[in-house]
Amino acid sequence: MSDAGAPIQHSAVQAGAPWLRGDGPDSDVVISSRVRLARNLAGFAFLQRAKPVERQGVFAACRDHLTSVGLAKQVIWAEVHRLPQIDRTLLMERHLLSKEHSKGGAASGVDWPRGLCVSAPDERLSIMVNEEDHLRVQVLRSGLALTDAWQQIDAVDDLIEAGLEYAYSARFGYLTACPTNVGCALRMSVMLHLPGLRMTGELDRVRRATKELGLAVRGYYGENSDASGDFFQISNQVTLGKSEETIRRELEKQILPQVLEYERASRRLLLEKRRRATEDDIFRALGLLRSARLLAPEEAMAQLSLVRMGVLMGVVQGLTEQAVTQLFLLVQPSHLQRYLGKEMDQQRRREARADLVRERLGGI
Amino acid sequence: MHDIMVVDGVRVERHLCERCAIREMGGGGAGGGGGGTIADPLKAAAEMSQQTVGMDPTTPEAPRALACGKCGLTFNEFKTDGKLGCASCYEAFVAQLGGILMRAHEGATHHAGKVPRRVAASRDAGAGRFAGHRVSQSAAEASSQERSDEDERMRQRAEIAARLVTLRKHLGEAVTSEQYERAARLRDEVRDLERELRAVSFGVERPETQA
Repeated sequence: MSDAGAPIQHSAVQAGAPWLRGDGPDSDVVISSRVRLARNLAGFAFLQRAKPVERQGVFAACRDHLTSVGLAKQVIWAEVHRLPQIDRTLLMERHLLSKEHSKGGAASGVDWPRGLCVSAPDERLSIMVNEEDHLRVQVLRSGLALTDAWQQIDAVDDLIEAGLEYAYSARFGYLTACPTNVGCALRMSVMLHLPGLRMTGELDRVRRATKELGLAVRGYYGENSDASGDFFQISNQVTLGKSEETIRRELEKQILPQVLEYERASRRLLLEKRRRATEDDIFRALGLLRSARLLAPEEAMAQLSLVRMGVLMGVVQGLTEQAVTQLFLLVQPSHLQRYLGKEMDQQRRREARADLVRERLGGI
Repeated sequence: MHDIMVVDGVRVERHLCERCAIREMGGGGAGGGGGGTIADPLKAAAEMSQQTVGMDPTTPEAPRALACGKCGLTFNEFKTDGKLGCASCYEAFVAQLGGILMRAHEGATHHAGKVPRRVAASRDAGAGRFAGHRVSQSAAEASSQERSDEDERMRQRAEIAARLVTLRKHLGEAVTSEQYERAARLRDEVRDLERELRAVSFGVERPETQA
C-alpha cells in the first residue's frame, strides 16, 4: 500500500502525533488542549443552504487564501472529498478531521468540495473548509496549553480575515450555521486521562459536577463518542455573551485545577491504600498487552490506559510514558494499516495490532 | 445540551443533542430554572461560575410562513434540523431566536469578545485610531513565557495583515470618492505591504494540492 499523495506521510505516522508527545504542561492528566473557531464568509449562504456553485466558490476562495497567506512555515492542503477512506480515517484518528467532514454528503449521493489545511510537520493548526460552517479552525497542543493555543488561533484568525470577509453582526458576533455556536464561536477543550478517578469510583461524580457547571463532557473522539481508555474531553458550551478570555479563564483557572488535583489525589490514594490491588490491575494489563495474539482497539485502549498510569506512578519501570501514549494512536485501524504499509480486514488488524503492541512493549 | 428542569418539585435532568434541544426550544416558552446539587470537589468552582439558566418567557410563536428574505429558509425548516441558512436568517428570525439563544447561552443576548478587524477598522477609522491595537495589546498582556520564533513570525504576519485590512479599506473609500491620487498612493502602499507580508512569511512553501 503506497502512501504517495497521502496527506500524512509514513514517517509522520511512524512518529505518532505531536499532540500525544506528552511534553506539555500537566501532561500526567491533560493529554491535549484544543481550541476551535467557527467562521463563515460574508455573502455566501451557510453550507447546508448553499447552492453547488456557492460551495465551490467558498472552497476555491478558502483554498487560495489559506495556502498563500503564510499560516505556518509549511502547510498541507488536502481535498477531503477526493481522499481514499483510509486517509480520511487516519486524519480523524489524528484529530485533524471531524467525522462529518470526512463523510460529507457521499451517502446521500450529493457530495460537495471539502478542504483541509494542516500545518506541517507540527500539525498544531488545522482548518476544515465547507464543514458545517465554511471554516472550522483548530489549534491542538500537547498538555494543558489553552493560552498558547488561543494566541496562535487568534493570530491565524487575523491572517485569514485579511483576505476573507467574515459573516459578523455587532449583536450576535460571528454568525454560525447553528445558533448554539454563535458569538465568539469558540470551543475550548481539553482531553483528560482519568483512570484514577474511575478506579476510585469518583468519575461519575466529577462528570456530573462538570456538566452542572455548563460544560460538555465527551469521549475520545468528541461528540457521540465513548470514553475509550478513560479519556474524557471537557469543553465550554456557551459561546454567546462570554469573551474568549472569560471562557479560557473559567476552564483553565476555575475548573481544571480541581479536576486535575482530584485525579492526582485518586492516584495517590490508590498507591497508599490499595497498592497491591492497583499494581495487580496494572501488571495484568501489561501482561495482557505483552501476551495477546489478537487485540481489538477498545481492549488495547483500556489496557494501555492502566499501563500509562502505572508508568506515571513509577510502578512500571523500563517503559516511557511517551512510548505508551503513542500506542493509543498506532492501535487505531488506519494508523495500524499505514504504519505497516498494507490494507487489512478486521481479523488481520487484530492480529497485527497484537503483534505491534507486543513488539513495542517488549512482549513474549 | 444539558437541561435541568424542576417539574412539580421533581428534578428532571435531560441530555439533548443540539438538534433536539433547538426543536424543543423553538416551540415556545417552556423552560425551567437551573439548580441542583453540585458534587463537593467542584463546589467552589460551581459557585464561581454557575449561573441560573435563563428562562424563555418571550419566544413568540412563529407565523407558519415566516421565512428569511435572503435565502428562503422558513422558521419551521430551521426548527426541523437546527441549522440556519445564511447570515440574514439571524435578523429574519430575530424575535424567535432571542429565546433560543438565551436558553442555549445561559441567558446571554449579545456578543462579547473578539471583533473582526474589518469591523474594528471601520469603527476606529472615525476616531483616527489604528485598528491593529488588539494584537499588540494581547501580546503585551501575554505571559512572560518565551515564545518560539514561529509564534513571533506569526504575530508579525498578523500585524501586517491587520494593516493591510485597514489600507485596503481606505483604498476602497478613496476610489469611491474619486480621490484617485490618494488611491494610487494607497495602492502602492498595499503592494509594499503585501511584499512585506510575503517577506515575513519567507520559507513558506506553497503546498501541492493533494488529489
